[in-house]
Amino acid sequence: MVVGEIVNQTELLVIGGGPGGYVAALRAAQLGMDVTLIEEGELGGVCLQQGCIPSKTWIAAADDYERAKGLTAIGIAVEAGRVDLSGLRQFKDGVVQQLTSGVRQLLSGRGVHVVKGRAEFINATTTAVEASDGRQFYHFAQVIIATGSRARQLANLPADGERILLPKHFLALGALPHRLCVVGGGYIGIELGTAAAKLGSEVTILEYTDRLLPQTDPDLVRVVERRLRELGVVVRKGVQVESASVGEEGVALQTTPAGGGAAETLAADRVLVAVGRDANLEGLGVEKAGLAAGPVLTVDDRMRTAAPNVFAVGDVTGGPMLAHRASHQGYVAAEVAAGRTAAFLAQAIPAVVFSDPELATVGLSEADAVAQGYAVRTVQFPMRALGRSLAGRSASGVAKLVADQETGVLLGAGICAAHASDLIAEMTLALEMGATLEDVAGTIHAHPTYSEAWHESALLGLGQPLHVLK
Amino acid sequence: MPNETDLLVLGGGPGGYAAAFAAADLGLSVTLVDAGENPGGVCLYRGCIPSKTLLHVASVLRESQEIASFGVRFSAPEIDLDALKAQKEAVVQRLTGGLGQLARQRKVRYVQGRGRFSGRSTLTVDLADGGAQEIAFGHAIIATGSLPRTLPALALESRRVWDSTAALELREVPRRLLVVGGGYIGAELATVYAALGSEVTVVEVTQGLLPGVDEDLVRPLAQRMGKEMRVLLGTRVEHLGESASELTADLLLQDGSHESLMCDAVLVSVGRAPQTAGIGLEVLQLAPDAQGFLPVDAQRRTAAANIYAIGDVAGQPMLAHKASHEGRIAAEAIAGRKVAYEPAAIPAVVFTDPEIAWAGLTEREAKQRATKVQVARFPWAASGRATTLGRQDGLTKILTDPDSGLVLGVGITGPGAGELIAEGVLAIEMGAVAEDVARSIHPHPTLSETVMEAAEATIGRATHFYGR
Ligand SMILES: Cc1cc2nc3c(=O)[nH]c(=O)nc-3n(C[C@H](O)[C@H](O)[C@H](O)COP(=O)(O)OP(=O)(O)OC[C@H]3O[C@@H](n4cnc5c(N)ncnc54)[C@H](O)[C@@H]3O)c2cc1C
Ligand SMILES: Cc1cc2nc3c(=O)[nH]c(=O)nc-3n(C[C@H](O)[C@H](O)[C@H](O)COP(=O)(O)OP(=O)(O)OC[C@H]3O[C@@H](n4cnc5c(N)ncnc54)[C@H](O)[C@@H]3O)c2cc1C
Repeated sequence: MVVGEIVNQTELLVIGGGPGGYVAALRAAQLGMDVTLIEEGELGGVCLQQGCIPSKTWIAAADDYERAKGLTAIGIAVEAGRVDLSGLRQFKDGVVQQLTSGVRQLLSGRGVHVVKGRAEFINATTTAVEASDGRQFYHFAQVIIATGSRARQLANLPADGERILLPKHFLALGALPHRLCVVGGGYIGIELGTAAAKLGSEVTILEYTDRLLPQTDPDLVRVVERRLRELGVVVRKGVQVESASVGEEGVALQTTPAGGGAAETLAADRVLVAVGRDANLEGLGVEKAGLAAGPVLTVDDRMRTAAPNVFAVGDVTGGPMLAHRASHQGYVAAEVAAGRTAAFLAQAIPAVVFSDPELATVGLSEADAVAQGYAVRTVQFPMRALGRSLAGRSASGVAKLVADQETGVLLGAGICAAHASDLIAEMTLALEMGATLEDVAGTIHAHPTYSEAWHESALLGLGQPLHVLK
Repeated sequence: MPNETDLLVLGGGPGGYAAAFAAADLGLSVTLVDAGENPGGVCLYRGCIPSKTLLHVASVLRESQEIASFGVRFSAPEIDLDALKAQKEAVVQRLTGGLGQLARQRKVRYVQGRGRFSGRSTLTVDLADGGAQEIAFGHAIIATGSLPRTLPALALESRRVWDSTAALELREVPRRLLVVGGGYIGAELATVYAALGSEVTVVEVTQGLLPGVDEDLVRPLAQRMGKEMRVLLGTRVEHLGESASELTADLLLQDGSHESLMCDAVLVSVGRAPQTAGIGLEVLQLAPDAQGFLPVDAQRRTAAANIYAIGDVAGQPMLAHKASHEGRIAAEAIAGRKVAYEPAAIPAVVFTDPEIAWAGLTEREAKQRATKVQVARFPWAASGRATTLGRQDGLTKILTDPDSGLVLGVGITGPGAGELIAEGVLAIEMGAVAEDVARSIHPHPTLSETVMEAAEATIGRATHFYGR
């Protein structure tokens, strides 16, 4: 700071306008704090600008397209339309714009002062903000760091935004690649690879480990893998990408088996790199606020970092890097900053993959529960036993419940089925409420719906199955 | 005469087969009597399942046209009715065949035929393949379900006058279809035929579609249906006539004027009546109540000690999942377990587009009973997921007790509402307060977040919306 520079005062500074930051700002303002939010890009963060929302718009369109093509199989002839990606892009841009302006309105409606620029710590109570019209300083009592994360790059596959793409480039494409190679079989790779395949790309997914979605229950992942194969997606596991050569015609990827062996070449028009995400700490100067510049910021259950007036929420605090986790953390940080008692003690953070069928989990998997020393009762219910699945022409899938053997208290749930993303909410509430198998079995579930899978699973767990045998 | 079976179940719908299966699993010898080839009842043969199969097709048909907004254009569909019918039949066959197999695996004896009580512990069955059989039982469960109702003004013997069963047969796609009755069955089937290409008119005598359902929830549906078909509220069909080429319905419209409406088929969907005729109730000395239902206690026992009744024949709501739930209760009670039918909430779903689902207390009931409630509404226009789906017309609504915060009722309109309601039912059953629902992390971006946001609004902290 030099003499003459203006220093703005704010009670609470929030850095980053993603689902972690903007929710924190909204809640703090609601609690009467004077809040300033600094965002270098657009409000809504990765989630709204380049993540959840644009990807789900693509996926919704691809699903509709795929289902409509399937009408032929049931006696309804429709001529499959040409996919005009620029139309999809327009729709997606409209969705993003609408939601971004919604966030802006909410923030201004609650009196949050929003500043566009890049924040950098000067010390534990001041940041400099680099904006288009120059540099400004903000002095604050407390700060919430919500700078999120960015796509991890591979040294041998540097993204150029043309041939080698990160998710954000992919979601802005104006034309569908004929041959798409997805590097990374995590949720982002699977979601975008599936959408592209449905819209007409020839898709290959390369995964370094020997499993897709390596963290997820294999019984659930199997369903997704089977469907990928049906959609013509080539899945190659245990494959390492060595190098890429980009030419006029496309990209040639050199790969080797992860366990060693002969190299192979794979040709693609475009390559999507989706190999994980890294916390955004570069250039933020957290050391000047007294924090260690680790790979992520470590926080306690009140979202406090090692510095007493510095909070951190969302992807910058590590995994699971999910928008709803960021928002709930943001909420807690705001409450604590405002002097309330609050803590992030979620029993259960649901995770959803918008694959086909959708896959959702919450709480402990069977393996986790056993590892934690529980004696468990695990049940698996095949979705095809439900009337709704057949009526809805989506019979593949499975639901799983993990319960404590003795008490029947639910420990975890997983489902791979149509509507899984919405169905997991009931089991999340069940876990939060300490529900038992009896509670779920005693709750009437509407017929014919996919949600009956939870009911049937609970009955099965109690030894009283209805539409399957013991 | 020795008992041939511990438990006799008359009627193989979702009430009857659920009872039979549960009783068999509890170790009773069970005989299930139904007129159909396999268990399934109305629900599987001519109700829930065929209607939802066709509604799924209707929704995909609509998607194939609406996807234009995503930049994908499909040609207008050409429908091969026989193939579609075969597809629907295959679904019904597979599910009912599966139930038949489950019955065999559980050693439930399945007798196909029409049964009537011939004594307090005997039933005579007119077997489907000829002859009769008398079955002696220890306990019996009456699960004979319900039948479509009609109205005197519509009593016309004609192949072009349909009940829901006929409509689900897909005999033809009439150029002009008149649907009399805008309840859930009428609304669902109107949706199917409109998607298949019929010009549909829905006539409803009350002032709104889905009479009895919360008006906030119905509004988005009414708007959408209003675009796809003609909906005449406060309108009565006074007479139905038929000529060689068409049907003529004389309508008395809301404003008192008359209209003659020509059409090619009429669907009468004016409700369902419990089915108690011809089953020998008099032998059991049982009589239905004023609405035609068999009165039962909390264990679903009738006035006759060894006779139980469940499902549509035993009272409202006439829904498959209520029937199954009662079936299990009755089976367990007969097996000597201490159980009672006392659900805190029974979900109801209308599978139109958008879907409508609710559970527990509604605003209307709260008013009628003068129960104080706090109502929070979350419009889907503020939902990210709804926006990506291009479906912002939905609404999620939560009713809570203003003092305790207990969740008393949940109502949802929008695609997938039928799935989303499950969380609401669990919340009510578990005695959750709004804060429990608000604090439970809901995945992003999903429609289930609307339930959380409505709960947040209840406790004055909505994130993506303000106001109540
Ligand atoms: C393709 C894709 C799909 C996804 N799908 C889902 C999904 O379906 N569900 C789900 O839960 N999650 C999904 N995610 C993850 C989700 O986007 C993140 O978990 C979420 O955005 C994290 O929120 P956040 O607030 O921590 O950070 P971010 O959303 O990353 O926001 C951080 C913001 O801070 C800003 N910022 C960073 N540094 C500075 C600085 N120094 N000064 C000023 N501003 C700064 C950035 O510009 C950014 O706007 C997806 C991600 C991707 C990439
Ligand atoms: C078009 C339509 C759509 C519907 N959609 C839904 C929906 O989406 N969700 C929902 O919950 N409900 C729905 N219903 C209602 C649902 O079908 C009923 O609530 C449910 O079937 C009731 O089950 P039940 O076991 O009481 O009787 P039923 O299913 O009616 O079964 C009774 C059985 O008993 C047999 N029977 C009767 N008398 C005798 C006798 N004397 N001898 C032998 N057999 C006999 C009948 O033939 C029948 O098979 C729908 C109904 C219709 C008509």
